[in-house]
Amino acid sequence: MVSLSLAGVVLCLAGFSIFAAYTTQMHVDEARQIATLQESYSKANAALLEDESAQLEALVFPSAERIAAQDQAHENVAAALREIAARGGQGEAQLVNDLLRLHEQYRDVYAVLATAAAAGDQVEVRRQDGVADGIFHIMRNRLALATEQGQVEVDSSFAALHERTRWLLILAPVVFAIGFALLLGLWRMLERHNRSTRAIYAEIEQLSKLRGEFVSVVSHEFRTPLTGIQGFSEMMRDEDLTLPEMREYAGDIHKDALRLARLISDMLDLDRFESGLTTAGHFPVDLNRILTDAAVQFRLSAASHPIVLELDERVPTLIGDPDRMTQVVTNLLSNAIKYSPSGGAVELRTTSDKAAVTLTVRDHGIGIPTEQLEKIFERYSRIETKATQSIKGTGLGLPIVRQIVNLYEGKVWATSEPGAGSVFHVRFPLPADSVAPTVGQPRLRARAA
Amino acid sequence: MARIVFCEDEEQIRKVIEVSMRATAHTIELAVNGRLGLAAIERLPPDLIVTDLVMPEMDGLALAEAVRARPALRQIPILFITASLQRGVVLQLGAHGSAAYLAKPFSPRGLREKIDELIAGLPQADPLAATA
Repeated sequence: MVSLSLAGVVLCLAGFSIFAAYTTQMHVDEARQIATLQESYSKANAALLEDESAQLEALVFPSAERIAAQDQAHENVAAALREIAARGGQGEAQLVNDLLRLHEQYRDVYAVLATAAAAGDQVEVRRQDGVADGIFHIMRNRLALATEQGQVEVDSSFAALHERTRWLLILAPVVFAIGFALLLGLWRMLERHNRSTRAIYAEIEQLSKLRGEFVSVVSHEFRTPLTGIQGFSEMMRDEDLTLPEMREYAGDIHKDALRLARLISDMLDLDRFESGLTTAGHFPVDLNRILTDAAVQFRLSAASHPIVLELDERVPTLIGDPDRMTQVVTNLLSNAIKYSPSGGAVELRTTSDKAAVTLTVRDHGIGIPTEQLEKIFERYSRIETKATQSIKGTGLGLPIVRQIVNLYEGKVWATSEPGAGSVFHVRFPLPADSVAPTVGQPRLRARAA
Repeated sequence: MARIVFCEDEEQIRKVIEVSMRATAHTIELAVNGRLGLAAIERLPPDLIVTDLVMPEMDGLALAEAVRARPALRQIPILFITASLQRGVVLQLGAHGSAAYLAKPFSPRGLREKIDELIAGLPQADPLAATA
């Protein structure tokens, strides 16, 4: 597309150049042709004058040489006239034809004149001399007229050439400037095009990488509960089981089904958050209470990770969605436990001031490399290292946390000392009109949907 | 009647294995990762090893390498249970001279049949032909 336009511009410039050169050449050729014709006219005129004097000389002082010169002069006139015919066009051919005929008569008259002179017939000599003089003047007049006309043509041709070349002189730089500007524009367009193409390719590459990661996460995370569901249901179908065994396996299937449902709802949640379809709920939220409940829950399932609570009693009741807030706390807490494979305390802390409520979750696990601190909040971007490869996860937990926190205009970020643990901070701003957190009803402002 | 060591970190799947094998005459031992599995294998070499790929501390491939490195254990067939039977994974397993592959989710009967085939020493089909 671009190379085609480029070829077009080059072609136009070349065409213009050829046209300019051709026009100029045409005018020069025409002018040169008319000038040559003028030359022939003056040659014919000179031949005519010479002819007249040769005729008169031969008449007055007849001799063998003079009669020969007389014939030669006649021939010269005829030759000069034929040259005009040869160089000229249709009009010149007509003129030459007339002149040749007149010259023939002129010759004949001189022949009669010579006879009368030899016979001493003065009356006849005078008469014939008048006729010869008349024909001579007609011929000269015709020639002079043609010459004059030719001169006019030469002048107008040169004037036209001058006019035309001046036009070309003005137009040429304009055309070349436009051509250059077009080329420059094209080149810039090409550059921009290239840059945007590279950006698009990078984006596609990133997307396909994410997709690949998604597929591998899904294939792994979905297959584990599916194995339970398939295995237990097959045994219930094919084997003779007691009722308690049946109940037990049904419970296992149920647990796996819940796990699958959670995975799917996490994925859908994230999709909905990312497409802006989720609206913020407006219910009272007791952050300390949510933390306490979560701690109780996790103490049961993760005994090797003591959960320490440090709650600020002045944290005001927030307005939001308790389920979403629970999701934030649960995801952060399960991450803290998951990425502390060798155990260690997990500390949950709340603090509040006039401007905001802050929640921190601190673990003593493997930590996060500094350059990954932001990346972990991106979808499916689990850190792939020797330390994390045996820890299973979907890479959905932190992106969901960030989306929920964003929904309530809060901020979430991580700090870490690799090898010594990580701290996740969540900060919810309080509206400026709340005088003090303990007074009135400070609320989380929900973003307009 | 054979002795089989299973290595699997997911509790649910360990339970599926345990219940599936109850009906058979085989003696089974379950380990939660490769390291503990290797300890069980070294203590009393089994007739067959069944292992998951992704596990903490020592994964399935590292376990296979460790087993192949011990002359006394080299001949024990290994059945890998993988979440993704992708070409790349299969090629990686092939490089470890493994015996067979089973993809999750698997059926208890499928697991038992595969185990019986391996213990009987039946030749295994090339898994690459199936995934290509």
